[in-house]
Amino acid sequence: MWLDFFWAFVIGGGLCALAQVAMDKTPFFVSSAHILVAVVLFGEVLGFFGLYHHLIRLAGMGAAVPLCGFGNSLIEGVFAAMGRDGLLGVLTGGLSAGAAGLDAVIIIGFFSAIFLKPKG
Amino acid sequence: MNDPLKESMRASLEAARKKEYASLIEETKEPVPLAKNVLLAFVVGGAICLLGQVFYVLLTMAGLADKTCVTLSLLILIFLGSVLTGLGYYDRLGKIAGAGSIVPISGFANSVVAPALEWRTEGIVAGLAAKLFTLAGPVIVFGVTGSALLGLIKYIWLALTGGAL
Amino acid sequence: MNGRATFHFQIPVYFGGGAAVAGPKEGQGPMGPFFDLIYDSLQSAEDSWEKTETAMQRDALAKLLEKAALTDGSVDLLLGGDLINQLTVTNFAAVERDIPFLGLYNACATMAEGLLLASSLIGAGFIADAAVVASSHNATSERQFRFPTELGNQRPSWSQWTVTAAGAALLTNRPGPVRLISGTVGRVVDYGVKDANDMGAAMAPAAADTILRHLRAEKASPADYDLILTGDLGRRGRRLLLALLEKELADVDERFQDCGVWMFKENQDVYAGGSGAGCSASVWSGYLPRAMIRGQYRRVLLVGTGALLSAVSVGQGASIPAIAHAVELRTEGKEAR
Repeated sequence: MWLDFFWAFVIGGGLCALAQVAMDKTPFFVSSAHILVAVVLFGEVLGFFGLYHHLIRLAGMGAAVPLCGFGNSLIEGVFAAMGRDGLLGVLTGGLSAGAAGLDAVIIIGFFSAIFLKPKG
Repeated sequence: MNDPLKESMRASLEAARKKEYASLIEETKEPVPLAKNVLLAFVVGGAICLLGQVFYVLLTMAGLADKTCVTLSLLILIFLGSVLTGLGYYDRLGKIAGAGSIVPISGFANSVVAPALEWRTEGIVAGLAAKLFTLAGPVIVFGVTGSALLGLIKYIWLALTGGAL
Repeated sequence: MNGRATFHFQIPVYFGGGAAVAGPKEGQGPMGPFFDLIYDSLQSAEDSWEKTETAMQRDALAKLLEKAALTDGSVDLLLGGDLINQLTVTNFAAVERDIPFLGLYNACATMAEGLLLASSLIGAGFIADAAVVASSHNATSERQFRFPTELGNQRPSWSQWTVTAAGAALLTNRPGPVRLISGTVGRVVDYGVKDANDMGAAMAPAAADTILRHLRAEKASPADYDLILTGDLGRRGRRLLLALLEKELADVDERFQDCGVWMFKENQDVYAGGSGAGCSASVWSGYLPRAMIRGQYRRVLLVGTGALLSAVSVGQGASIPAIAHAVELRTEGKEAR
């Protein structure tokens, strides 16, 4: 268990550090939206080649918490749905796999914005 | 003033001056403190993931299924990211940690809540709800489109090579 | 061509008073003691940041008239602007005053534009008194030009912090200690800077252009001035301005100062310094006239600098044109030259 904590920290931090390098080394200003898009696509490509689940096996939440984990679950969802529904799975798999996180973000985000105020 | 020779000389002088200025502003730009930024991103990003792992372990101890524990841990981080955004702390964390607090799922929640809070003054439907996805929208667009395209590529590949889905 | 658009005000124009209102962070800076009113939060009793900025302008104008012991009826013209779409902030402040109004937009050079126009109108004899107002607010600007304020992103060290402040000045033909002598209308200058975080770099060439044109028209050198005060170049823009001017002029030294640098202390975490229309407006209305009356500076050149960008132009990858307007002030009595 202690080793799991270690790997969660190192892999999770490592993925963030990698994104920071990409952010700082790009010659023009990159917004957080750009970085998040890149990270999700990165997770999808690793997932496509079946590599990302190794990372999850090693690091647990260290690979699930960074948004590349979201990208990976989209692609894994697509592949699983294709196994069931064939070509239609391309459309049905992604968002159903990411549904819990996405719904939570929308609902929690909505109520946070209703009840809280920006501080500037 | 309208002498074409003088005009073209003026234009080339102007172009040279602009080029010189462009190199001046590059030379005088303070370098980005890469090592410091990367270290902070690593530590803060790692800490957020570690926190997720702690939630996960606690939930497994409660006897929940593995997949449920992962999802619930992510939900807690989303909740924390949203609330810290609304209380005005997440932007300060982001200033220090950069990608370290952008890349974890709590940062995704931050990019949803921040515009929603900001445009609350323009109404709940046309402001808050409409602007909720100004920054997170691209992530979903590229995520969904990317996964569908990669799925399609796999489908075609398997059809060509005769493999099974 | 260098003499064009440098105006010498024929009828003498005087500074008749100033008032400045600022936000909490600005209030803690070196300029704090010179503000008439300091808000304790970015959002006052109003229910939005835009309304708070309007309240700051309203308070600055009320203070100005109160200090000058004037009523709306005795001011001929109100000129003013801010950074928010369609000048709504200023329009809502102007609606509460019974003074004919001209809305101005030259980004952060709006105060300079207003002083120049008001002086020209008084100097030509059209009006006797004019109030000029300009403001900016950190949160209204951030959300219009950049990102939501609560977004956890990182900004480069060369970006600037939009000042939350409003400044209002009264110009009049009734004699007073500080006189406005002349002014130069700037040209829009574009050196191809595209980084919207690098406003100091975008604005420095415009400031250099206007300063050179003004000095040529006045047949003066920087040594003739006690202070050449730019609006909001920040530390980086000021350094670039000096680098540009050193090629053309002698005496490019500490007499060149910047309101964006003056606004905050080193430890206030504002990147390269302050920016925004309220930056120059509050320093020029709050601090500078008092310093001149005290005798600290006798001949001063104010150079308002504005980056003429919008969220749309930046999004489309356009470069950032900039403008600078100059106004020359002198204390009456001993001529500087």
